[in-house]
Amino acid sequence: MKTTQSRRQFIQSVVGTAGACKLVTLMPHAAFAAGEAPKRLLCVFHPMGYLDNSFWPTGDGADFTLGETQQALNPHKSKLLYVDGLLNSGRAYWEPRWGALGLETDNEHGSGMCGVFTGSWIDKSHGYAASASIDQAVANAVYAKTPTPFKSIALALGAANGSHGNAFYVGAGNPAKPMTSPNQAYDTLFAKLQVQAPGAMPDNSAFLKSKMEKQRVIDNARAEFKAVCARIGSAEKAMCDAHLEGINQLESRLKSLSPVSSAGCSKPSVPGALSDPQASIRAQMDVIKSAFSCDLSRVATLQIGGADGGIDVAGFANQHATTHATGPGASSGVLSDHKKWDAWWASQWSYLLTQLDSVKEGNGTLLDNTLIVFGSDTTTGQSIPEDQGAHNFYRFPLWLAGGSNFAFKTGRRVKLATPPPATRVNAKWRYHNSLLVSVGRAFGLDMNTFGTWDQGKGPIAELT
Amino acid sequence: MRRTPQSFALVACLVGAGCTGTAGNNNGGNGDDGNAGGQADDPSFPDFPGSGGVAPPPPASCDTKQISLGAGKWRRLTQRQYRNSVKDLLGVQPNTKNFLSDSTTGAFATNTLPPQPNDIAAYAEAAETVAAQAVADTAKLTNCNASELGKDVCAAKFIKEFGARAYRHELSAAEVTTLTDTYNVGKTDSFGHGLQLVLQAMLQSPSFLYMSEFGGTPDNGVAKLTSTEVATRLAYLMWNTTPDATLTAAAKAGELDTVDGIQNHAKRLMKDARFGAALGDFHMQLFHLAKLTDGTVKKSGAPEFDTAMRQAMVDEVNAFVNYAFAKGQATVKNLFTSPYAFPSGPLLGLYNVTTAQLSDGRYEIKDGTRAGLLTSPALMATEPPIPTAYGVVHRGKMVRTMLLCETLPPPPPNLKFIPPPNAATTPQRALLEQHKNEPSCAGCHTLMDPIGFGFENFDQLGRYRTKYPKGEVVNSTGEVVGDSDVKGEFKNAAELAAKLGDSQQVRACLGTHWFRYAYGREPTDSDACVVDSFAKALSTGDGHLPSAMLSFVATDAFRFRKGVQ
Repeated sequence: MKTTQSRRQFIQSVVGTAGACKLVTLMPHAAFAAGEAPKRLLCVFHPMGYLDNSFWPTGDGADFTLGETQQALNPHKSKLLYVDGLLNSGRAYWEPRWGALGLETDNEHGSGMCGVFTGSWIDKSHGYAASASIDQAVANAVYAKTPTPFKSIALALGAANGSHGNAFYVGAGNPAKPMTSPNQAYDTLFAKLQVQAPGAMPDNSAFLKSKMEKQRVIDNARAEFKAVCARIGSAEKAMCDAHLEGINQLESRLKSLSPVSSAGCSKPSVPGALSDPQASIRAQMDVIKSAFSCDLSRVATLQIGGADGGIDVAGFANQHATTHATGPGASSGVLSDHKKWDAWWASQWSYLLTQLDSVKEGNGTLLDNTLIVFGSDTTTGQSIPEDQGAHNFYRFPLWLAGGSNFAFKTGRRVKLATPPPATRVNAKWRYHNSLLVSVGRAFGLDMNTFGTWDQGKGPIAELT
Repeated sequence: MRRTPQSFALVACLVGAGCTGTAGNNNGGNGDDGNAGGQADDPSFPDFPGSGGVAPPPPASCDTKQISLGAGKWRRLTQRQYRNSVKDLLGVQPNTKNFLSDSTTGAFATNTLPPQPNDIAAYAEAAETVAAQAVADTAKLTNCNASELGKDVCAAKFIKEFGARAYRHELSAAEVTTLTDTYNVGKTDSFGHGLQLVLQAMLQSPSFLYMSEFGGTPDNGVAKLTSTEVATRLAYLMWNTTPDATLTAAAKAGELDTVDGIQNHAKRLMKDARFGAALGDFHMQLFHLAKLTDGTVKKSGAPEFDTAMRQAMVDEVNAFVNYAFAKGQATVKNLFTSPYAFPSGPLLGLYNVTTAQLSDGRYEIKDGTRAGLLTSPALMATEPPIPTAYGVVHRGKMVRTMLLCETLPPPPPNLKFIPPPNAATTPQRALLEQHKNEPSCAGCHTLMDPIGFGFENFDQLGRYRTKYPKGEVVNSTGEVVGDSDVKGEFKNAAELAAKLGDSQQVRACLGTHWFRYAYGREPTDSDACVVDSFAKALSTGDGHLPSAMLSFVATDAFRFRKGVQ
């Protein structure tokens, strides 16, 4: 029996008729032989990048020193992969000729946010990204091979609707709608998941009966949708197809439930009342850790804030205003405000990495089997003379963490472009689409381009 | 020349060069200042295939008899419609807190985008909870007499009768068979359990969750909606819920097959408080007031801006709209100029109420300091949403985009933004006047700032003031520049509101908003006549909203759809 299939047998989550069913945990992940643990993808969005000089590491290859504001990540240095020399292709909106083509619909925040994980421009007809994001492309492929209870898990905090509020897309003009609080995520993913000590005998009969009934209700809904969908025209077909896919996923979630007992999958604690953004962010990270370790899904996204900010931390200056005030002549106060934010983000990422690294899987950890892609809408450039000031797209901080069991060689700073002092023209910038292609290929997708802004340069060979 | 919905939508605004110096910092130097055109030689910029740029087709003429329709879209019930429908059908209040957000069209929740997997999972979850509660009293649920209750004959009756209400059409034989099979699975446990599974299935049916519309046999590519489909449209548009028994019976009797019949029933629906609630909901969404109660709006140095005050602000807008509706005064003019307010709870202090409350709940505003909805604390507190933003700019922008339906380009790249020392307490006029001196800013900011100055009498919570905290006297004079029919100078917000209340552009804009609200999509050129019909009905007198709704439901677009292809 293939591991990926048997693994799902271990999952136990009962939806509905609360309390009627006794459920189950997983086999200890450490029991998997090396290389058998599933590969996961986590994409993280946060607003406005970093002050570049204090973010980027110095040194080259494996011999590098973390940036001044990123010291919190030192314990994880061997599992980081910095890709220095990317250009967020959303910058193209600055080109007058795109405006002439009817493409200029937004400012740097919207273009950057819609483009960072899609590699695409904003489609004027709906004001959202013109294609799906990489997480969804990966989720479609992974799920087709190995259906998990959830095809992908979208989480967010402080997000809003619109081109400045959505980084992740199911398809053109269709943002992946996130669960917007840790409590909502907990309720949806874990509230009825019962984890039982190994050896305890689950109450099979009630469970099987409940499962049979749920299957009947699903069959009923599917029959009605099929009848309706057979009658409709092209205008509604996408709606029907999407609803039927949702029903199919509901069914596969139901089918993956079977009472097997083990250890290794632990629920996060109930989030409850969360006092500040950091507590909320970390609670969402806990949700992701548990969802991955319980194999509820292989793909997750975490969007923190929107393109214009949206996260307020007591004692911190407004992030958006701060980044807009970092041009030439910026006061040292503003620069240190910016650095304070950058260090704060690093400490959140460090928490995430520590959590994922704490789950043993095979001869590694959950972190080794999870590729994390951190991205933002814009960044703050200080190292490129012409681009000093707020909101640049050069030296774009789209970077990787974890994933040591992938083909990527982690623990490095890869320099793609001429190091500073570069200029916009002389540095050989690579559009960030190439990194998205590399991510897709890491999950076996046969792709050479990704997104509407793609330059056709393929993946980034230097990463492996 | 007839005005299309888009004809006033674009405002020329100079962008492309960096906008520096919002707060007077004009030392420039940001990389892309003024040289956006100089990047063509940038080797990192390949050529991309073009897209867009296709000229729109010429607008249809409203004078021809030919029926012209934009592409119709099915709509999934919004969360509010779902809650109302379940409550009206079963008397059970469903919990939708774990539903994913509704997709939006403009300012409005419309759910016309395809659903996502967790939407479907949330429906399953909610259906289980609701069904379990609803079968607690099977006699009440089924209306079966004692001799039938608990038997298959009662279940069959329930499936047929309740099914027709929930599905908003008579069930087909196939639907009855499927639901009966589901009942049979559950009844091995008990009669009630059988009904429970039936209810679970019904609440996940396409017929319940969607406003599914097929229409009759298409003629020339256009299909007339069936009577029951029209009833569904009317009920959700006017009441945000499923049709009541009278409307369902009227549909069955063919009373909704004609424009007169539709208008007669629309008149009945518009007499009900549920229409007032729907009007309130429309305006809540139009002005994004949910941002007050969901915590998005933030203030600094205002501990009194707590949950109770946020709620009281929203309540006031609802009370205001509902009062106007109940008195038959739901007019555009009233919305902008009514000299009364509905403060309650913490808002009483904020209003510094000195007059007695009238028996109908109003407080009169006799000193001309406020007028209509525009100066309500809810709107003033929502803009700006964060304390570091310029209220003047945000409020001016609100008028331009929400009320005049103009599209303002976003701020240019590398905007040099310096927040004022304390936006909540400091006069902003002198700082913002500098926008005039910077060509790259002036293009847009002359459209927004001089309107926003008119609201300077209202602090970040919408409290009236004549002086700033440090003693500077408020100057609330402003001007609407440009070609619109509200152009000209004004002394304060009340004068601005009076201009807006008389404006034809505002009324045309409301037509566009109502179109989005009703159809869940942007109007295209072929919808121009529908938007026009609404605006035209509003154009006379004070602009009576219910009258405009009557003309809206009489349009072809409301009664027909493109034939299924």
